[in-house]
Amino acid sequence: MNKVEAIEDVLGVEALGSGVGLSLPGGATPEHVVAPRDAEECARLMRWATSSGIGVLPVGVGARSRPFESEGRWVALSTERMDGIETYEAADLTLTAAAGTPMADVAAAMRPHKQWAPFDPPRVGEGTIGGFVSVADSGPLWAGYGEVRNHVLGATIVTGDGRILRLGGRVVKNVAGFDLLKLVVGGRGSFGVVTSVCIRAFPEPIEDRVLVLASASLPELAGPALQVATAPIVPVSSVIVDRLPTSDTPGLVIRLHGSRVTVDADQRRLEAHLGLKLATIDNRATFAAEVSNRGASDDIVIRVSTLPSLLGGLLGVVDGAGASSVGLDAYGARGRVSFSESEGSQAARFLDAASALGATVAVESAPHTSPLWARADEKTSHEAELMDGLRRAFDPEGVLWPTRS
Amino acid sequence: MADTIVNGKLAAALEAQSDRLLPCVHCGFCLPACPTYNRLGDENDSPRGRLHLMNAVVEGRLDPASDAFQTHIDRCLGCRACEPVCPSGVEYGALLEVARETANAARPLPRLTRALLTIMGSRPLRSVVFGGGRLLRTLGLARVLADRLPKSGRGGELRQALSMLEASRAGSIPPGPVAHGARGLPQREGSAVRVATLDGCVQAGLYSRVNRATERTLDANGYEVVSMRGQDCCGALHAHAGDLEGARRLAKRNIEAFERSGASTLAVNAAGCGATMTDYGTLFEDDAAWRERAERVAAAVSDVSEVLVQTGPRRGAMVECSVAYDHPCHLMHAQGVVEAPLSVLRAVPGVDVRVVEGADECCGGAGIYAMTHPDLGGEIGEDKVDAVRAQGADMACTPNAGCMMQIGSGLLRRGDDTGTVHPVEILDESYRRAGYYR
Amino acid sequence: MIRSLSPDVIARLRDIVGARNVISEPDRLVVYESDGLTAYRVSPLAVVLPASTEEVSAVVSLLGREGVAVIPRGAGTGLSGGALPTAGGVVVGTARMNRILSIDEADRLARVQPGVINSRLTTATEPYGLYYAPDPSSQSTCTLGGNVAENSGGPHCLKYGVTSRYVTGLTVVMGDGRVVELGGAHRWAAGTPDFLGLFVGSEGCFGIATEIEVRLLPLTEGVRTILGIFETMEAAGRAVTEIIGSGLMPAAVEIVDKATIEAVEASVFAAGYPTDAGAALVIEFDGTEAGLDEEAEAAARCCRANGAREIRSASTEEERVALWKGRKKAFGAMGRIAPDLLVQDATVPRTRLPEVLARITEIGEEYDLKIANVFHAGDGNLHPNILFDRNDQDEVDRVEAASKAIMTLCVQVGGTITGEHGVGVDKRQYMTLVHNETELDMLRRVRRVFDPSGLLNPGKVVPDPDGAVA
Ligand SMILES: Cc1cc2nc3c(=O)[nH]c(=O)nc-3n(C[C@H](O)[C@H](O)[C@H](O)COP(=O)(O)OP(=O)(O)OC[C@H]3O[C@@H](n4cnc5c(N)ncnc54)[C@H](O)[C@@H]3O)c2cc1C
Ligand code: SF4
Ligand code: SF4
Repeated sequence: MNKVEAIEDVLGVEALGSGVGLSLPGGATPEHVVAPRDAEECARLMRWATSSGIGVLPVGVGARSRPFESEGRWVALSTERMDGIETYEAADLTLTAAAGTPMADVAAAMRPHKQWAPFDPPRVGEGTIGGFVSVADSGPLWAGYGEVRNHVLGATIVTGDGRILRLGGRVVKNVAGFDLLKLVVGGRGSFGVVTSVCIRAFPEPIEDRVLVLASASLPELAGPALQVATAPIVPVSSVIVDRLPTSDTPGLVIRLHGSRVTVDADQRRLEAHLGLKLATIDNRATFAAEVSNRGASDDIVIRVSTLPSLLGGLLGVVDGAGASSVGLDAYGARGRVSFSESEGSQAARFLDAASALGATVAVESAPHTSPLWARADEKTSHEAELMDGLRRAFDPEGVLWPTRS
Repeated sequence: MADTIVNGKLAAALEAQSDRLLPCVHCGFCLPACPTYNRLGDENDSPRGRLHLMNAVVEGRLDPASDAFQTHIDRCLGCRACEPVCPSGVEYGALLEVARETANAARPLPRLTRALLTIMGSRPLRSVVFGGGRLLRTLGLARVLADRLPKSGRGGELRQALSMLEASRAGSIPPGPVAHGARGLPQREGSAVRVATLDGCVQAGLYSRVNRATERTLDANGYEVVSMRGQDCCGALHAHAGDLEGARRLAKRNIEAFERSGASTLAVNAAGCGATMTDYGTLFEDDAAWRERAERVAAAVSDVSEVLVQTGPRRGAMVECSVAYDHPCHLMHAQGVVEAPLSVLRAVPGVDVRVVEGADECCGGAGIYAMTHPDLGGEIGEDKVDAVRAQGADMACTPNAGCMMQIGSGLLRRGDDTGTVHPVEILDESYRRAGYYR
Repeated sequence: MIRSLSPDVIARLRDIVGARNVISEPDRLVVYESDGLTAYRVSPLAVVLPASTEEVSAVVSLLGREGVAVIPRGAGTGLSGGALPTAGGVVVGTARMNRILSIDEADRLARVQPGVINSRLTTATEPYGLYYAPDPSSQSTCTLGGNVAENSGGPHCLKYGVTSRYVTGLTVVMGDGRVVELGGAHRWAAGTPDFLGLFVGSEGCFGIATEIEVRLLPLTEGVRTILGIFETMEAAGRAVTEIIGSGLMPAAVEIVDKATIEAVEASVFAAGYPTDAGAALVIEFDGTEAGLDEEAEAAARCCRANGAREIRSASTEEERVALWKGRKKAFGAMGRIAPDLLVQDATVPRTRLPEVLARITEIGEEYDLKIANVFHAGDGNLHPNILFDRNDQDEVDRVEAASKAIMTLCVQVGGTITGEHGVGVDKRQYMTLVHNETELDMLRRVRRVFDPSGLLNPGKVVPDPDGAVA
């Protein structure tokens, strides 16, 4: 039977998605894009795929430019038609939405209640909530609010063999049994297709202050950055960028949240600890957005992480690397460095130099033909073994991500 | 098997205590407080474990003659550090005494323990033994002999005894001149509170200087110290070992003696004795004839430091020295007295009081524990000596004879003979220098 | 099932950990027959107390080869029977693994052995101006290994989050004795799935954590604690909903009810709560000194608006400790008012609290049981404590029935059967209230990935496929 007809038989004609605007992994050209409406349909699709030996590639789960090639036949799965906020309990500070709901809609729903989701990875407003949860990149605000994984309360997923699992719930302490939800959050679609998620909302801060310390060079920021990381208060975020939106020089951007009185006092304590004054930024929203996109604004994006005490060494390496954009979370000593496509060899040298310092590095995006992809995986052998075992548990026939080992 | 045990009289005493056992909810809050558990990691050697063993005996699941019950009940220091941390208020100390009585009934006490109890319980024997002890101490033989004896076995026990004896020598409070032109205290006016003091067995035998200091400092603080003729050993060692009958016999003598003395307060300078005497009521809880009298005496008992703190204590002259202070368990955990002895020390100008790290943990002396369990008692003692020495003070200071000897002997083993003093000794020296005793 | 260990196995265990650290005499195993949940008693074949990762690994692989089940045990304060021995199993206790391996001031990390007591870590890091945030009420005695296994929470986890937020890396001995590293604070970039998060809360079924790396926080500058006294539990519940909904970010919001107040006040930890009150609400704010008065006052206003008859605030550290003491030691204090106590644990959406509390009162009346409520109200985590006497079989049956009614109620309103005490053996029977067979099967599959032989803490967490739970 022709595959298209088969899908139509299983899910109905509308199941074939448009595929418009999909960001597929590099090199991937699906035979079809399938867009189920809900978990049930998704499960039927997965069961059909399992029985007909066809692979399924979930898209929008954070593998935008990862190279993808498959020997077998496969379809892309889009969550575009699983769209809409299911419940929003503002008083309970929880929101449940179908996986394809744009993060922008989530933010818009929360805003009138003076609530928000305090995460600021690069381009957080552009994706869907399902993608956001699958990637689970918290952004520098994790310092003040915790990581995405701490705030996803529940999810419905469809496993590789088409079973629907409702994990977690809508309460903060939501786990009865093993915490499988943790695999879904940040699992990049390896263990199942996320069809619905419940996340925690936070009251908006009364005062949001953005402070800046400009500097002539990146390495000069090492001292202040470590001072901030060991300060008696923890700013909700502190980020080192190679270029401040305001001055084109490197700088350290610090955000403080709380009541006005608290923020004033925190700023004083921080300045006393640093022994210098910080400049206050007025145009906060655009400034903060630009800052959080630093490091991820070019063709080649490298993720790097170390410990705060070793940040100085890393900044030294970054400084001479010829990167086109840098954004490092000073509290977590982690972030991104990007290079333009033509600087692939510089990127490779940076990978070597950073590894030599003991930093963890991984390629996040690059042209799919780039040799850099050989450096994408940083798993230890034990982790790889666990990964295999767990993937077999969730996806016994290897339907999801048909090429990934 | 189980039935015969319970039906036999052995566990009956413990069973009668099941009301005391019930409040234990098995929460484990007491584990980290227990010195034996902290060192061995075996829950049989934890308060909760020991209570569980007692419970198993009551339930008829465990033979009180079993090695498990005997060993682990015996290995308890009786320090009662497990009591203040227990949210259910389990009266561990009282249960332990009954558990020991039960254990003894099932299997007689070891010879050494029996011998020690016999000596402490008898005035004539005590005077012979301590008399000999003082002679050895004065001649310096205690130390010489201790150095020659083997470290383990029978010899080890004797060695420990001798080094404790040696440790009971006076500590190194620096002698100082009486203040120039000092005059004695003015005559007391009107009627003073009448205080009797406990002489105690070991104190009377080896620490008479502390007893004298107790009397003098009380007097200097306006109390009328009256004699308590006919008094005896308080019975603590007997109660801790589970010889409750022996303890009652001694307690009765003290109750009568106190009643005769006409005093309203009974000041005790040894924490161990004070803990037992404030519990005299429990000791006689099944004895209608004595119970009330026992409770009255128990209520009158106070640590000497508490009595002193009530009226001051009066400041004396400067005694420049530093002391590493350790809390006796039976003051801190059993009686809840923490600040009073420190206040006594701080009343002396020039004294630098340094509370040792982990002062709330037992020193391993625990009455006769150091002698009956030289290994574990020794290990606990070594840790304490380390903590004391870490303070780098001129001398160790703790208000309990047993702890003074345990810490002192530990210091001696390290070749450190700075000695161990009781807080009232320092206060006493301060008063002497101030000329209050003229 | 294995009925006894051969002398040879015992001898080899002794070789590994030292003779004194193997307990195998039946009389001495009695004290290990329960953990903090005394409703069950099973004696293990032996208890082994290793001191290092290597020793744990050697013990576990030896037992694995012999086909003997392994039950990890920390301080044995767990309330769901997680450390309850399995018949024919050997307890591997972490009591001797109590060293703090390193404290890294600049990176705000500490590495510890699993037997380190929660509050001792904070004591050790305080000189560096740092502390370990998760604070289970049992923190003075429970171990970090146990905390990791149960993903423990505590009063201040409302603001700071539970254990999993602070565990950055683990060394784990797997069921076959292999030693595996999970996570690591510096490994963010690797983008590995959150195996660490999966391990945390695995109740001893996925492996034995033998080293734990945790994140520390700077000590907070100031703290304000207020106590709101309410006539009824419902009023207190409404105040909580309003406080959280108003955007205030309290560090802790805790409720104790009348029965609990009575128990606490009768214990050695009396905190001076009025014994005639219907409920007491403890609210705490911490952080930068400057804003605290304002926040505490705002919370006090919410309390008054919801009918608080009295507001007290702790002005000294001593008063604060006393306020907390009553709350934190409440469990033990219950031991004073009844011979036995079942501590239940469940979560509900916070806004449903008043209604759920009213229903629990009804359930208590229905089954003629005394139920005392203590809970982390800020995140809707209830601990109904059911008081009973185990010698009264009829009462025991009613306790069972009431527990089930409470669990069902909590699940019905959108909550779940455990907030922080785990499933263990006690909650296995309720797993079907929240998970269907497909989900349970997935839990079993994942467990087999970590422990193919099924020898790690068997009989816990997931009910067997045939529905058997005991
Ligand atoms: C009075 C009281 C109050 C409590 N309050 C709270 C509270 O506020 N919040 C809360 O969350 N809990 C609370 N608890 C429950 C309990 O204290 C916690 O679950 C605690 O984390 C258990 O630690 P433990 O060391 O006692 O572990 P145990 O009880 O010994 O073991 C618990 C589980 O962990 C496993 N385990 C232990 N060590 C390891 C290890 N190294 N590796 C792998 N698995 C291991 C065991 O197999 C078992 O399944 C309370 C308990 C009591 C008695
Ligand atoms: S703290 Fe008290 S109630 Fe808890 S186990 Fe120890 S003795 Fe029992
Ligand atoms: S009295 Fe001391 S040694 Fe004995 S169980 Fe209590 S804490 Fe442990």
